[in-house]
Amino acid sequence: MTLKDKQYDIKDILKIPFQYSPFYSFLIIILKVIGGIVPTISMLATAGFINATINKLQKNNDTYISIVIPLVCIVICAIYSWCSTQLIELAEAKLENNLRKTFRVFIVERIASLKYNYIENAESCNLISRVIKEPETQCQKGFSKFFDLVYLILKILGILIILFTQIWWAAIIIFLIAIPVFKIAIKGGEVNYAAYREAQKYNRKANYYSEVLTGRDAVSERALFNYSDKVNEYWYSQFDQSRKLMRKANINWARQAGLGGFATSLLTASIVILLIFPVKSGVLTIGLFISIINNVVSLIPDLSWELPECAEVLAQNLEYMKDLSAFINLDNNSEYLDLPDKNPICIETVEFKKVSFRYPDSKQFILNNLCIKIEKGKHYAFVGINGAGKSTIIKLLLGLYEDFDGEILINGISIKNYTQSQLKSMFSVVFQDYAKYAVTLKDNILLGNIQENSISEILNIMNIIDLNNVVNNLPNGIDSYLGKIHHNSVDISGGQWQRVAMARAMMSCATIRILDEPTASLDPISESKLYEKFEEISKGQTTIFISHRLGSTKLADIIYVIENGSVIEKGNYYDLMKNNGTYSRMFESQRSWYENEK
Amino acid sequence: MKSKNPKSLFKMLISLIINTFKACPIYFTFKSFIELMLGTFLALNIIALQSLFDEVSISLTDDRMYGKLIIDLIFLFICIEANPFLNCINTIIYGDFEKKVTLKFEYLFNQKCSKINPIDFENTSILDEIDKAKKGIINSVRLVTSVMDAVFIYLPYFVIVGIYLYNIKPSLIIIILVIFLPSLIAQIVKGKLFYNLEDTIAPIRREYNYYEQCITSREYFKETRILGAYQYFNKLYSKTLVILNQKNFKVKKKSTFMELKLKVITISGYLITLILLTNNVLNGSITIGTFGAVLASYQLLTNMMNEFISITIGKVMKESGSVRNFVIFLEQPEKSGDKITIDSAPEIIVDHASFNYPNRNEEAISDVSLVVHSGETVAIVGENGAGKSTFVKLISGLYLPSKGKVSIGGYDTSEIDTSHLFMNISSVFQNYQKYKISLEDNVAISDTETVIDENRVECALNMADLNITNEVFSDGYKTILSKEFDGTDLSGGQWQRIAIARGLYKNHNMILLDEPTAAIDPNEETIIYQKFKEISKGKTSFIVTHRLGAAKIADRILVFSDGQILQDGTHNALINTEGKYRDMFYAQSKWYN
Repeated sequence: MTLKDKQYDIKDILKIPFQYSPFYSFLIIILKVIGGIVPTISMLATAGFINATINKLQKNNDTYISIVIPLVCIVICAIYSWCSTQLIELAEAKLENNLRKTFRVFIVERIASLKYNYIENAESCNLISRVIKEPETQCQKGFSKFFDLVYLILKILGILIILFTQIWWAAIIIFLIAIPVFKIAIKGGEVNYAAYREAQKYNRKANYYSEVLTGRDAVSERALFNYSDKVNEYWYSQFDQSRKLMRKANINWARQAGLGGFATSLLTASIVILLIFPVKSGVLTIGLFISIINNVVSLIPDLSWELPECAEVLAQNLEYMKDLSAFINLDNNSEYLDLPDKNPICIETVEFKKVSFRYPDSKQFILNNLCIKIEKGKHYAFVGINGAGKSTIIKLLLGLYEDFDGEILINGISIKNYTQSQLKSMFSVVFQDYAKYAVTLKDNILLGNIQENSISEILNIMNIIDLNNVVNNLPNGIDSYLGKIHHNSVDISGGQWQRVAMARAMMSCATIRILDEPTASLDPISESKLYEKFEEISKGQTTIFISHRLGSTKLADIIYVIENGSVIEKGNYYDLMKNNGTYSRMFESQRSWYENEK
Repeated sequence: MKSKNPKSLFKMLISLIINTFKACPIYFTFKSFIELMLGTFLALNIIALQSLFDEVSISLTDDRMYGKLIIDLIFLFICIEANPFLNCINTIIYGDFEKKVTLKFEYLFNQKCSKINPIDFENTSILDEIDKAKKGIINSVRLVTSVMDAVFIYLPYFVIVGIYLYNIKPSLIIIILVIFLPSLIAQIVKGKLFYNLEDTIAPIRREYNYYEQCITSREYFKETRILGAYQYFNKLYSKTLVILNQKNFKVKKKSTFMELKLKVITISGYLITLILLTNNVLNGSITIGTFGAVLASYQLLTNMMNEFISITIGKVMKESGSVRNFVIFLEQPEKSGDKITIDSAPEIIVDHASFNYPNRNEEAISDVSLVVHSGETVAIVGENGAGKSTFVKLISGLYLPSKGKVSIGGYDTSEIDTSHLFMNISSVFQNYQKYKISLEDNVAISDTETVIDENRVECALNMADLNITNEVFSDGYKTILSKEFDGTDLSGGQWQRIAIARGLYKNHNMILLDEPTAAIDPNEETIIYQKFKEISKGKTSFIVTHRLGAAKIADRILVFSDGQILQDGTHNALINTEGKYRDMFYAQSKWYN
């Protein structure tokens, strides 16, 4: 089931639960609507019960039956109002569960199929994090609150209708007062939400500080630099500012709501006085009098507090719907979810023709008229300083960004003509910030070739990558969980993780292998072993290395030196050294480390 | 951290309430007063109504009693008007008070986190405990406010109404108690159920949140997409959600049905009371007016009681589990010891020290002995996973050895207060932090004891060679280093320089540099290592590095392998002996020939 691209509003608070869990949505509605009618029935039954008892006492000719019927009614009403709470809670839990496994999963799927640029953009990232924050609870709460409102309105209407039959104008006046009270409440809800958004700015910062203070990442620096007290003060002041903002909005709101409450209670008091006359003149029975007064008094909190509160929560929920609309309307493509093609297309050539590119939220071009040609079977190296655009080239090649100027041709055909599934299968990459998936070691590697499930291939690759001694130290061998998520999982060192990432890339049958600064955390022996292995297993394959350890680039058939988004030097190691350009300067500088002894 | 002594709800409450009172004494008193008034007026409201009903029903047959009726009306009027007034104040206070107390509790929580041993953050079960304790904060606050509601609103309300009813008909009040006892029991049982639920759910929650991140977070997004791993994680994600749902619902269902069963008793009690009342009226032991009024107030009372037990108490019980986690967490014993500061470059003695990480069998460091003289510069090299980073954490006192001893400047690290010890130790960590705060704060965060000194910041940044251009650092030192907080994004190399500046900013006579240049361009690395050499003069310093060329600047090189020191000597000595160091050096240098 999916949601349509459109604007989401109040109706959708009702529609979404119905779409994903019709039965429990319906059950909640029924239970709450009956709940709204029950007080009125109970009120009439109580009146009937009192009157019947008085009749029985005074005239002594009534049968017991006239007492028993209202009594049973009262008890049934009591049973309902006491037990329905539990049933509603249960139905709400079920609704939330159903939304969790459908709606939430849908939202996650939608995020997975977003265009990549949203993920690197701060604004859309915030939107995404708001939308994914317990969406099932948001929806369930909104739905339930809406019917709490219905419940309240039914309850109030019931009392008003009975009052109307006795003193019609009082009912009308209460009704008229209720409207502005309700309006103030909604307005107040909006103001409060605005304050809440404003406060969120402080909260976000405070949450960040709290992560620094309590999270795992910062633990060493936190302990050694002993900054907790100071950062805790920062944290406190951020949250305190948000608290004060909320308080200010709240005082405003409560003042207005209090005024409404005051008006309602004044009216109630006058109704009490006014009703005494019809009782005395016998128009109104004492039973109904007691019932009405009791219920009218209970209207005060309903009208002045419960109703505004419902309205406020609903107003906030509406804001979630706004976020949801914005989110649903982000560009997406379900192709992004596809598995890599089972039979990858063999890449003969890749060509960047005058490619220029800048990130969507940046003015500066990161690639400037870049021209690169990659041919089958050769080894390439991209070198250059940080920020020169090396990693961006890879992102374009992988189809993560599609809005560039110029042309990227794969086998002579524009990259835009290939499906996502084809693109995924053409390249295998070890990113600089490769993922450390907290799943089993086996799955970590198998993810590299999701279409195939070959244990022998894994064992083979583990041999090549030197993972065997890592495996031997794991409690359950290759079925051990890595990371910190599962119980009994084991966290391995940075270098070991990198080898896992490398093994994952090697599982793939892609014809171009890309290593984005693969050796940053490898020790020298592992590094040279890796280069040699890579050379060995990549024979006849196309590889692209991105590195700033220039030693490794000697292996490359062609080295591209990138600066400011363009190629400034191109050629093999010998060409470039002869050139006496940027490359040779960088190389000499690194060589100097090893010079004295040779 | 591991003890989980079950604490009684009562003791927890006392400790929480004391903390709340300490957090905001005036607020606490004021809130209690308002609530007390609220409870009293709610009760008086019932009495006023009943008195009115009585008068009205009497006045039906007797015309002279207007005077009393008017007094009753005035009484009722006051009660009714007091209600919105008090409610208004209470609403304003309620949310704000809750926030203020949450703030205070979380402040304590943060403080406590800073006292946890760094090694405990490597232990999943302790991470779970921290997670659960954090969840307990808000629930603890709610527990306190619920208890305040109970004591200051409901209790006076029940007492006043109870006395009043007792005066009319003693049996009524006894029945009330009998009726609600089962409900109370239900809530206690419910509390237990939910406490256990919280325990089972916490790891599941972590798991599904993690899978969600694998699909949606920036950290994993592109790799998951390129691998086509969405379906794989989606399967795990959905599966975990379903397990969560099942566990959740099972407990909810159980507690609901138990509550409903016990409600049968409550309802039968209610029915019996109604019959009793009717009987009393019919045999003339109470008046019709009283009957009508009692009936009405009885309904209000039972509703209030139901609200109190099922909602207020229910909430308390449901959350008692996580509250317990929070209270126990706050009361964990802290490591203490002598407050020692080292005034000069310390001598480090490692005596048969071994170390293993939680949940791991093999030792990361096994039986290492070493003496490092005051002011020596030591380079540590070795393969990945050889134990270099762990060793650095051991000799800095961040981790304590599981066997053997490490002493800094003559003091055993396990016996002294490390936070004091750290005052003169600095470090550049391998996983240095990228704080989303200003450039200046990012550097000066290593020394929060003194006021930020711009000259020192400038000096540290100069040493780290950070190029401060106007394009990137638009607000100079005040530039916030995060897009998320309206600042700027930096490259890995720039961040690493900031981390170096951070390590250098702090006054130190011992410094640990754990791969301090991994993200810096090789050309510029040379310069930085030369600077390290200058800076570390007269200070005991350790440099972990993969660039063997860089190790040359050290007085002494330690070669690590499998958690042990394989070789120990100067560069010249090691390069001329057969062994690991020489192998590694040539393996690396051959790429440059």
